[in-house]
Amino acid sequence: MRLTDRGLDSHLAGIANLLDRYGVSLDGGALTVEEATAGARTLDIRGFLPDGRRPSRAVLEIRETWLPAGPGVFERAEYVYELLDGERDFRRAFHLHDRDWFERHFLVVVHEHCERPIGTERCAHYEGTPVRDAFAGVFVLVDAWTTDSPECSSLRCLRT
Amino acid sequence: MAQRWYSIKEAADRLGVSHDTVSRLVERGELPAIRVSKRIVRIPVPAFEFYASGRTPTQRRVVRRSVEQPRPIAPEERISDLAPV
Repeated sequence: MRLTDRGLDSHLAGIANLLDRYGVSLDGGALTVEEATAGARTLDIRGFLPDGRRPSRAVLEIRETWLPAGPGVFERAEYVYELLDGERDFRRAFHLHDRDWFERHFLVVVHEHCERPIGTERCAHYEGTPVRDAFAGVFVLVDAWTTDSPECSSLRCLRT
Repeated sequence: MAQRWYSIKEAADRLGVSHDTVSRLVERGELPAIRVSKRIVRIPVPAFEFYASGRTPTQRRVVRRSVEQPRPIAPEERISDLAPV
């Protein structure tokens, strides 16, 4: 998917809209797109799922980096879709970053994280499937949050 | 732990409408849900409450900020710290 700058603004607003509809309370008021000198665009949006505590301990974060892919258009190059569920001491994350390093070491471009309790993991990276876009990212995170008894044992470690 | 999701039947009971009505709301995307399988749908409680309250998503401004370098997207996972394989 390629987006113009205006399309990126709509994309970010659309993610916030979806998070609202899932009942996620968002940090801050305005949404920010960071523009780096060399052209990269970074989106970062963070919110809290109500878990009955004040403040909530369920943090959900969507981060994406978009790189120029032609005149006036950008393509998503990296993402981090992340859930920290403090109540259940559970972390679930879907990542695409440092593409070259992961391709060189694991022959893959995406990986996942799963920790329960947070800070403990069977391996540093789990095999993952690409997440189509941020909207699917919200979906997989909310899915993880609603899972009755989250655990990591069904995931496969990345091996060379 | 508080309940995190409702089934279609639970949502229907709480809204005072039929099972089919809730299924249609889910199909149309008006009530966000997680389809676990063809037959199992989970409606996250926060999504249900947002819908039931009649609220609508907040319209937010998007602002632009210039930075020298893009922030690392996964600073908690610096490649230099990753063990060689």
